[in-house]
Amino acid sequence: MQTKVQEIRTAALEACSRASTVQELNQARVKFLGKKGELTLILRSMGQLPSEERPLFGKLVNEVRDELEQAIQGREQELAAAEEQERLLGESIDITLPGRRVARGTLHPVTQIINEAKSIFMEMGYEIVEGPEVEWDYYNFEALNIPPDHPARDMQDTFFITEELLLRSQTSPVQIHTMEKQQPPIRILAPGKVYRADSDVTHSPMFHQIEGLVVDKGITFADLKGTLQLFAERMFGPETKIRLRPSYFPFTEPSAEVDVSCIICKGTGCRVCSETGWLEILGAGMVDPRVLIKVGYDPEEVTGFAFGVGVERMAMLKYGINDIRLLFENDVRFLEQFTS
Amino acid sequence: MLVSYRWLQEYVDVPWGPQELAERLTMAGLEVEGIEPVAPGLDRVYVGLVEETVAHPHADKLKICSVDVGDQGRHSIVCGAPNVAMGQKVAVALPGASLPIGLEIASTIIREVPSAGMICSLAELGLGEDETGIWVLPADLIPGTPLVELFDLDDVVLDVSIYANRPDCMSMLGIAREVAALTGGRLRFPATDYEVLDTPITERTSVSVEDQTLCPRYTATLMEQIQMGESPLWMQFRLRAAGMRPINNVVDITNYVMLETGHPLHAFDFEKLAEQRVVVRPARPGETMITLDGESRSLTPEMLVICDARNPKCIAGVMGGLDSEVTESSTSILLEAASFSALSVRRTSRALGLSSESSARFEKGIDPHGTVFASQRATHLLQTYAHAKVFAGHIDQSAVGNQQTKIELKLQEIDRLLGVPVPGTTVVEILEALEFQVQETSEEGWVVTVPSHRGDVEIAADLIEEIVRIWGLENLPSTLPGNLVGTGGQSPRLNVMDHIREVLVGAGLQEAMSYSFGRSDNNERLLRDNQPMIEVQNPISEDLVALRHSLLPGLLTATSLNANRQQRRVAIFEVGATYLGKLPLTQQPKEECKVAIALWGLRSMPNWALTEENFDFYDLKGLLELMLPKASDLEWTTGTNSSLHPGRQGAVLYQGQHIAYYGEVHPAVARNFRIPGRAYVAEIDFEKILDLYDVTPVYQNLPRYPAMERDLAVIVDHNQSVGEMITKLYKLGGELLQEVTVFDLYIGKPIPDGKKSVAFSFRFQGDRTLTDDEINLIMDRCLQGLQKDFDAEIR
Repeated sequence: MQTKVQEIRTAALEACSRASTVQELNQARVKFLGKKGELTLILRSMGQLPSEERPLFGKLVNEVRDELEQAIQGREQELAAAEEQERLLGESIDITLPGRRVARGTLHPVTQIINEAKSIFMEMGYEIVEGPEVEWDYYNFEALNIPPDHPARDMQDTFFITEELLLRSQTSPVQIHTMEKQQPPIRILAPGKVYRADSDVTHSPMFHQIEGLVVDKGITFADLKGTLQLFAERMFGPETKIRLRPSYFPFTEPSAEVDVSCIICKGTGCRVCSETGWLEILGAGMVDPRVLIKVGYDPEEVTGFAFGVGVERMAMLKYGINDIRLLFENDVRFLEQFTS
Repeated sequence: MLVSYRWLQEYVDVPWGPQELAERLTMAGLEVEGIEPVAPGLDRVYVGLVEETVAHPHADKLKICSVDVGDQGRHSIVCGAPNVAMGQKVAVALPGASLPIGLEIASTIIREVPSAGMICSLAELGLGEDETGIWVLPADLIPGTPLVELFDLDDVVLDVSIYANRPDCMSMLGIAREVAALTGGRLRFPATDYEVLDTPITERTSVSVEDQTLCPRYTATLMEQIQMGESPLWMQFRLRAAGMRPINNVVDITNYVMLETGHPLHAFDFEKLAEQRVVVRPARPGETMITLDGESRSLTPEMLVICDARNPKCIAGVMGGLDSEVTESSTSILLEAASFSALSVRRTSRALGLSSESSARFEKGIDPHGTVFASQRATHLLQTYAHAKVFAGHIDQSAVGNQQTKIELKLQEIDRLLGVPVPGTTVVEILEALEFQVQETSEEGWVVTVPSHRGDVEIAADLIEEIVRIWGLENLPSTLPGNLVGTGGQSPRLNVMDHIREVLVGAGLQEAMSYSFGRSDNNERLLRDNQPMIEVQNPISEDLVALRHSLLPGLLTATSLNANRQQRRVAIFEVGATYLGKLPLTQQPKEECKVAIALWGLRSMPNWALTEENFDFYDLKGLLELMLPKASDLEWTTGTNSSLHPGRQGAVLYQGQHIAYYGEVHPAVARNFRIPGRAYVAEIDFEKILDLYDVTPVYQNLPRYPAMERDLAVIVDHNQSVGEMITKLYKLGGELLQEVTVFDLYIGKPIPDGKKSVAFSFRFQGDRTLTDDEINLIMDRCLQGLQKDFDAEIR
């Protein structure tokens, strides 16, 4: 009978490994281990054995049963895995098809430049302020040391609405509003729209400036230079250099035009910078004492610096845009390029 | 200001080449915008000697010239100029030359005779207007000499941009003075000597200045026996290099001296002045005068004119009159060197729409002390080049005092403004080089006297600018303002603006930016009451006139542009100001920020996995629902905006106040803006929704008990409002009802015509396990409510 058990074992193990589906394996399980299975039956016929052999035989059958159950379970897992694998392969899709398209929104490049500048200066403790676009002649010109008929008015072709009201031609009037309202120390940044009667590939009748103003005791021209150096590095990269050239603005004295090393050629000279290695991006200077007096500050007590940056110019340089008018045409093929 | 590099060297030593000079001037505040050759295109143009001329066998007007061009050989050239003659020195362009007027020279055959080059006129060389004949060169030139080596034709011109505060630099001497300050060199003044007749000028003429405010100084010089003619070639070339056209020796000399000294001069034909005297006075009402350019000008009493005993002969500082112009037949001239009020010249020039080299200088301010020097310099040249016999002395009517601007300057003040100490010796050196007089008052300070040509320098800060620009801005250190306690940041208003932009960009929209002013009929185009908009007085285009009342015209114009450029999807928004004010405008208008959205065309760009569908009303409404925070006092209601489709629009109220309208663009508006198909727009009053965003979310405990979900589908009349049904359901649902959503809307068979099927999904939740019975009760109540109020039938 022991031989018979061994035969059943061999046959069962073979059936188990031969089974190629879970179903076949189940049939084998029933055939050998089921209620009427061969091993069950042989255990039941144990009564035919002499009683002293029975414990040993019983042990043998149980060992074989355990072994077979384990083998079947192992085989079952193998088969299940193989079947799942086959099913999954049947579910293959073409992963080279493009993904389901999600519309991507974009901020206008002008907004992006303003946002960048805002965060740079907010970190330096500047407060962002706004001012009206329809402005009094007084704020746009007179308070900035540009009296009526001053030749400097020719520098800007202003849109007039009435004798006294105009579309501001610069963000500098925000300087005056701020200084009229509050006492030093002042540290503001005022981005906004400005208007000049001019239109070609580099001039738009509407564009944006970012005005900066710092007034306190002991503010110097060197502070202005350091501030703009830091701004240029943050805006255009740590390698960026700046260069100050003497210039003229009626409301700053001394005044400077500020160039940054060309962001295209890194200063070696290219078409964008007209081979000079430098790009003019902003005007700046020390607040003219006559302006400080107009707002009731004492120029003996406080000094200040101011600067004004052309946003479109920076956007055009940064993104390589060759016609300023593209910025306000709103062609979606243009707008969608400025993903950030 | 165009500055000839060679000419400049007459007044100052220039140790630098043109490039470096440009660099140095730029870094001292005189920006050089370009360097151009004075006479481009003269390669392969040489001096030639016409050795022989023979008549052309086939053409009466042509001659065959044998020209000796020195090293360049002997050339046979066919020439049609009437003045070509044997023995002349001429300018010959040889094959390969590419003349500035665009002419390429090659060996050709002219009427069967070979011709190897061209004998040129001044016009053909770009050096003058004369094209009547060839340019005959001085006889002493050597054949074969390249033309550019003569007459300074290899010179370059620097285009220097002069700021409005530096009229003193609108002259060669002014620029030379800057160079001298930069190099430490000395300025050389040009010759001003001449011989005079015994008769004093006062015996022949008089000058009467009636308004010394408008004309603080008038200096007249008189001369006779003038020999009119051309000015010397070198002078013509220099005028040309400076952008002026040579006319005759007298006019050229006045222009030359203006370029040299910065002081405009005017020469009158003395014989043509009635009673041979000069009166400077405001024009009389109704007076007219024909200016040099042949235009008749109507004069007003605000304009200053130079008259003879009767009529205006010159608009002071702007332009001379035609009938007193110096011509070929003039013999006596009265030379004017005056100082006119900058304001007056500026206003006159504006009023007449007439500007000139003279007015450009006067309106920025001319040194009144310079009249005599400029007169004497011009007289020297007039005697040299027009053989003028000069009456003794000048008539010099002057109200100009000798008061000088004196400014106190302290060393410590320089440090305070610049943030770096500049050595006292450097300060003195720089100021003196710029012709300021410096007098030391103590170890730490000076009194500085401003030279009369520097009217722009008034206070210590102006002096410090002079010092730092010559010293060099590159010497400034870079520091940061210390001592400022940081309070940086932006207002909640700006934060909300940024937030709304982010939300809309996140939803796949592109931010657009349109001009703040547009067509004056934009309200009409929007089918709105034609409430007048604020307009600019001096628009540059009829598309940019009226300050916008709404952002819609901008976005609709952009939609139209994209549609007409074959784009298939437009999903854009704009955040910007609108301008409302009562006309005529006496106050600043209200600038209110709006947010606007425009959708047109495809909801999503073609993609295999998405059905190709157009945007509709509910895309737009969804964006508004996303953008506007959920708030109980926000009311979504029907709209009555005339720009929108009457049956497809809505409005949003906040605390009872209108804050937004949205919907499909009225087809008539779409046609006005040339938009094909349906477009959807919304406009939100940004200013009125700010506090909607002033909310901090409060965390709600997550439910611990399972939710119960139920569906209910009903059939109602097509015109029943689903929104109102939802409101009703929330009311009936009680506090256990967490959410009602519409998960299906169906119109069509088997639903009867004029009806729609609406399927709601309910979610109930409580802080206990809910029972079917209690929920069934609520659902019954809901159904009854819909049946009662909306004639609903259960589906």
